Amino acid sequence: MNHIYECRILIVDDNPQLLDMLFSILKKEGYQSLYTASSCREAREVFEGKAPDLIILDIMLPDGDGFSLFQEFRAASDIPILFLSAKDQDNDRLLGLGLGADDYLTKPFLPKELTLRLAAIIRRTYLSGSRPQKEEAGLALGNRIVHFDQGTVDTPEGPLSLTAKELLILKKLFENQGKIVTFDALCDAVWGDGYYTYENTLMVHIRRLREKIEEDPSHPRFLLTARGIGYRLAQEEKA
Amino acid sequence: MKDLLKICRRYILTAVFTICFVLGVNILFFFICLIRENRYKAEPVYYNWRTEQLAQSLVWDGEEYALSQEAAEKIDADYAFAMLIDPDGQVVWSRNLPEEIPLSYSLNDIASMSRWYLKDYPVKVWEHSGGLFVAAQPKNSIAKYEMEFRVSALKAFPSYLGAYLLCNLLIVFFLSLFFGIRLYKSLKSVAGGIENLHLQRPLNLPERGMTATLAQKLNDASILLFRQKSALDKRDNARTEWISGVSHDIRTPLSLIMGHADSLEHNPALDEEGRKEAASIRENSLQIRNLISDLNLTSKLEYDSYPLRLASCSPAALLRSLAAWHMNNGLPEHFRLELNVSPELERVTVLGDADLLTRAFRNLTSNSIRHNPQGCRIRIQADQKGSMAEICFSDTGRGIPVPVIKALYRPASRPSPARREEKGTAPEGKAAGSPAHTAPHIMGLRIVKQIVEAHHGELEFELQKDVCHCVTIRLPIQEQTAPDPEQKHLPRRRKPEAPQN
Repeated sequence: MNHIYECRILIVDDNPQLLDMLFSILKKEGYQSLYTASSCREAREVFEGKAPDLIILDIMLPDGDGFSLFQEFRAASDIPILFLSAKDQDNDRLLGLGLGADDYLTKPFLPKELTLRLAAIIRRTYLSGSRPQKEEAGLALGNRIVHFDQGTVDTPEGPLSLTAKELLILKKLFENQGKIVTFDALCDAVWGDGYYTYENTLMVHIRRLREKIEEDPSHPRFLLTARGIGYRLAQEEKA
Repeated sequence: MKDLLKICRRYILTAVFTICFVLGVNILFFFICLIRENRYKAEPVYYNWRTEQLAQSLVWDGEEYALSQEAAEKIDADYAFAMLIDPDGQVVWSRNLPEEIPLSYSLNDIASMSRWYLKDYPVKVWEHSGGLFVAAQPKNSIAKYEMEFRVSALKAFPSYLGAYLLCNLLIVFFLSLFFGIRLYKSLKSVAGGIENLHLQRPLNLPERGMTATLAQKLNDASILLFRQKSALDKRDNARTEWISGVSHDIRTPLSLIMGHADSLEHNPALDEEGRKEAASIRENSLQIRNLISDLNLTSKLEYDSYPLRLASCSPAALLRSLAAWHMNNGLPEHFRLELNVSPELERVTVLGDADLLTRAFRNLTSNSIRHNPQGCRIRIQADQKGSMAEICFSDTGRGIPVPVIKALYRPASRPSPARREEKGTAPEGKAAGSPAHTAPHIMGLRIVKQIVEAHHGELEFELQKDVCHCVTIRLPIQEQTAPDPEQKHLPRRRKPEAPQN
């Protein structure tokens, strides 16, 4: 699979109108091969006949429940499955995710929510190379490039190596680029659960990191502070 | 133990009182009888004296014995007969002497009669110059008993008296203790039953002993309470399930509305007006979605059917992630969110459901944003106050009006028309006054209140001129598990090491 839109998707829902709508949403989004089923029986037929790459599964079906159907499919194949259900109870959600579903979306939903999640699942499952490739290409920060795989920063003065903790912090921020990551989340990422947030220690690491990745560490352009909350890695600049 | 002492003391007092009272009544009765008897009948106290009088009234006038008139009348009235026996044992004088009475007596006869009866006549004897004066009362009128005491016993009596009293007191005390303990035991089980009544579980108290009836009544009452509770629970569950069912059924059609509205909104064939309308449909559908989930949550919290996933969580971390969430999700430019966490609060944790607490916090900040479209400054101040984590949410916007707060504290029931009106007066965003838009306002706050209550916390609205600009949540702090960061030995949460130079 070279592109997410090549993914063959099976949509299972007992409501024909919703099925139509889902079909047209995904069609409009660009997905080429879409199959629909309105019962467990139909879903099994499509599953066996067409071998879809992903299934969107409702839980309440006229001839069975989605959870059992999920287990049936999972026993036969490892394809990603997303639950789309009107059951919003935490228990159901946890059951669905606990069974190993790739995501659980509750109705009502915005079409954008669904397509974004779908794309994320497909990318994760079938195009898993895409993100690391980007990482491998390095993170360009002004005139410096961070190489995550090597743990180094290319600077005009020559390469600098990052410590393990600096790398962890930077990775965490990079994963959430453009968004604020709280001290707590960063500490969690670096030291694991069980450490209480110790802002000052984190600050020391951040200062050292800035010295390596910022041209002017006292006026950072990329690793920004959200006062009292956390840090943010500014969106990548087109170098 | 205190109760047992009380019961025993009462028992002893009751026993002493009963004894004294009964004794007193008996003694009184005895004296009354004595006085009555003496006044109207044989005057036994003066018996010996009267015999003496009678004996002295019989005098020898040289020829024969003569009795005074008064004594003769007395003998006729009160006595069966009287006689005088000379030293030889012969009756020398008599009055009213029945035939059955012999006229001569041996020493044996005299000895027997003087102490007991003469032919069943109770007699009294008195020394007389002419021999022995005998006065007999009618048969069956007097009972004679002999009483003898050893002098040594009589003399020892006062010293024994103390021991007797002591023994009696001990007996009273031990009996009281025994009965006291028995009563205490049976009362204890009954008292335990009463204390457990509020648990609304059927009791099974042993129905015997002195509290049998009481225990039985309590058992019955507990079963009644249990049934009532079950019925109430059933009704509450039915209501929660009903709400959950309805919201479930709404979800699929709402998905269609949202999906189609979204598609219309992005449909280039539609003119701008039509796309705007579609956008409005989508936005309002989102509101309905939030409403449904709020309604579900509030009904579950109301009837305690929401399973809290309790864990140690740091309020500071929750607040930071809330602030980050707002900023990451595009906090409009005219809003400013300030978060101040005191260093003391950094170290404390509360036992809570992180999702729910975040929801409560977010409801407050989101309310500030939603109700102040012109923008405002939102300030979150978090401190440790004693054993509570105090989080104060304040804003410079229009604040929460008093009627809304009043409605919040009104007992949960069917919304009255008045309440709906009050909700309508709440400051709203663009759709102020419309029922669909006012509901989340009060529901959002209601959920905050319910969540805080579920965490045994406190919710406080600080009023300034009929509006509230500052809502304070206080949550009980867990026993300090996160110690001072400067300490070396940290049992659970450890200090991350600083980078080496």
